[in-house]
Amino acid sequence: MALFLKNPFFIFGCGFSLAIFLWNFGLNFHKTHHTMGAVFSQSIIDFKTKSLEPIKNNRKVIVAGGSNVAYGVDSTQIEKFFGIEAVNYGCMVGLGPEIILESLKPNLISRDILIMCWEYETYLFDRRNQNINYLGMIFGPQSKVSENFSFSDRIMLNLSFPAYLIRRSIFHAYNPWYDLSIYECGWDFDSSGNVRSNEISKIEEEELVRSPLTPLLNEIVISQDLDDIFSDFLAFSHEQNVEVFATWPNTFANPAYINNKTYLENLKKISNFWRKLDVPILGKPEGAMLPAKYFHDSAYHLNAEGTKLRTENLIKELQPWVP
Amino acid sequence: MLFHEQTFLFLFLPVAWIGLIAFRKTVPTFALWWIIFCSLFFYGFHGWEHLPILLSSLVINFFIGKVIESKNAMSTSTIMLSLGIVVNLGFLAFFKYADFLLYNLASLKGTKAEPSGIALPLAISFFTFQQIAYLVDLNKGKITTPVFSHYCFFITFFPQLIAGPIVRCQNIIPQIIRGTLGRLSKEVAWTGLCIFSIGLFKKTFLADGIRPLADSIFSSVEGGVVLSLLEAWVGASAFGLQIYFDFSAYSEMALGIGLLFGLRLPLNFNSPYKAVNIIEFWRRWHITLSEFLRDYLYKPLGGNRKGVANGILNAIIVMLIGGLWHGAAWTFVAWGLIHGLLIGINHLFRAVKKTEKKKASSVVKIWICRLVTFFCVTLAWVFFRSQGFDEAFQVLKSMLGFNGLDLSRSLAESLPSEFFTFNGFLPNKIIDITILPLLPFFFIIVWFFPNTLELLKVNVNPSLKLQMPSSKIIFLAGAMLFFSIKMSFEQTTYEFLYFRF
Repeated sequence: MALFLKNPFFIFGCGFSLAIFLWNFGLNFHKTHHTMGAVFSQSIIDFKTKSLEPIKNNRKVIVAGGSNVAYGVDSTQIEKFFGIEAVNYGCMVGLGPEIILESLKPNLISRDILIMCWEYETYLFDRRNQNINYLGMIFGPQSKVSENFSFSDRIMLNLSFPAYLIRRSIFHAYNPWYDLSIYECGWDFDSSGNVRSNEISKIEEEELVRSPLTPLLNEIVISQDLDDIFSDFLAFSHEQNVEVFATWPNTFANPAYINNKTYLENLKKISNFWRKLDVPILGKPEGAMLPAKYFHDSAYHLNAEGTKLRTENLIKELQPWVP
Repeated sequence: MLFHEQTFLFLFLPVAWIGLIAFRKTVPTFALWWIIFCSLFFYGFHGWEHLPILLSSLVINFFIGKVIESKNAMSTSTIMLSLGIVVNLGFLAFFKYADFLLYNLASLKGTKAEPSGIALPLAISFFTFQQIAYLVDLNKGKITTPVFSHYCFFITFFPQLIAGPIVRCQNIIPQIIRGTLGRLSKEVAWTGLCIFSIGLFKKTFLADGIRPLADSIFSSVEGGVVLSLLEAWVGASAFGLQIYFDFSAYSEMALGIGLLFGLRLPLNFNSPYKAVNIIEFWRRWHITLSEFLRDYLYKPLGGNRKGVANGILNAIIVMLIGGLWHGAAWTFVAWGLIHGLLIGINHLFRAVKKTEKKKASSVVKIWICRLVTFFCVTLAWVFFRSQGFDEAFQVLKSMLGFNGLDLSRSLAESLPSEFFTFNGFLPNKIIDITILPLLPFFFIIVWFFPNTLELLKVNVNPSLKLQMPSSKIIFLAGAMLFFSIKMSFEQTTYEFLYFRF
């Protein structure tokens, strides 16, 4: 036994194991002491689930996605038109679809209508692509989401979690002068989850033209992760008798897309992806592409006028499906 | 492929090591060629287009070396040596300094120069100096030409190829002849693994950990931000610590890998911030470069043999060249000039002190000298890190208080507002303050901890036997290796600062 304890391999292994333990201890610390990114993201989810809470047991229309929904769809318009309560569940593209869909699950009931409107970046989602927002949430307030991950996914995510977030977590936890609540999302949501601070345009047309969406101009390869996430969610929706639709995100009609082969192929890939999953697609991508005057502060964020127009189009696209 | 990247850690290093051990046991003659092949692959992986440059430089120098050795007449060998030096410096001038020269010539003419588009081959500064030293030593008769395979190995051995140490022929070739390549005792292997793990940890956790602090401050200055006194000092000392841990890490990893392959590389880094004067600093920082500059430049220039004034002038010339070696920019020249002047002042002090009786230094005096040295080195780092003189002077102005003194808002009522502003110590909000509480720990490691080689009781002299590392060190190395491997999974890995040179 004494010889074994003196074995350098054993001692080295002990050091290695202790480090693994310490690292996991740090990760667990982050799960309870979130950092600013996670505070921001979670505050959006909290706000959105709060909007759903009062109508949880009623039939409703939910438009879910990233901030293109928050800044591009007016759920009150939908509510008025169809006479069904509606909620804007537009969160943040960086969260990835998994966290958003998981937070939605407890609030869905039979005959609910869910319209998914994902930014083009979402189609590049892969659990292992090291999105800081996603990792901050998975090892933070949304740690439950990772419970069903495969062992290899959990190991990879565990190792790719940035060490500096644990440093920040410790700093925030033991710094009495640091108020993390200042990092909560300051978007001006109304009670149905619509952003109301997008009255005016803050972005110039040249800037929009200068920055076409990179996922559209580079080949999109849809990951197995994304396929699994949506398949699982659709199985759940089917069980719950929830009607699920997909639609195109509102974005700027950039001239760079015209006659671009990759762009056209990417759109085809996305259409095929939804078709394969048996999800009806509302409208056409170009239908959600608007001129510069309708944008608020980015190529995904519409101003109030743009939101109105986009929602009218969405209502028209949804009408044939809602008796 | 960096030492701390997954491709190196999980693919290249194990394959190269297993291949070496396998060849040594089965076909020993292939073992050396296997490592040469791996080293060339390692170099080529960073840019295959530069591999012919390394190979042609290697072949040309080997050929010139052969001619130097074969010519009995002193004059002929000196001509060949001069030719060799011209060829080597020509390579360096063309690939590293062409743009710099063109830009400056154009500025003199009042025109604008277009970039030549010549990409800097990795490690050119290192293998050029290494081969100049080889030719000079050969001409002096200190060494004889090795066989071609040994020469290839001496130049290309991958742990030292990219960023040093600047190895001399007499360090490596005798070890190969003795057959130490791949011959591993338990002591050598464990020492190598421990040094490598500690170095890896220094790079991934310490150097890259403090990096954001220096980067945010220097990049904000480039963006026109005026720093407060504290911000400027935090930025400059953070960079000083970053480059310290970065270079220390590289040097240790090179040493560790060398040992894992059975070879001892020369010491390149020895706690330089513990130096009590600038001359000692250069005996501890990038030791092999300092020795190269001393033996192949300072001494041939006359050193201090012709008096103190001449010695000071030579030191300045040497450091100017040393500065330029680090990069083709005037800021590096300024950095070299500052060090040259500081070394000159140090020599002057020594000349004056020689006449006085030597007294034992007190701890207080040692610490004052150490802090003054650190202060001077940190001021000089500002030129090293800055993109241009405007930025460097902005940082220096703030460091010396010429951009005003920003104090805490809570002091506004008790102190006169004519001398101070009360916007807080860090008014620009440009730094990640969660790193700040770690700064003292970095200084504790630098100033109070024994360095890795002291911890492991390693002597780089190949004739001395290595001891088995203690259990504590092996335990620590195990823990550090996990953390370093973990860091290799993160999104961004940063290259070594010395890779640019």
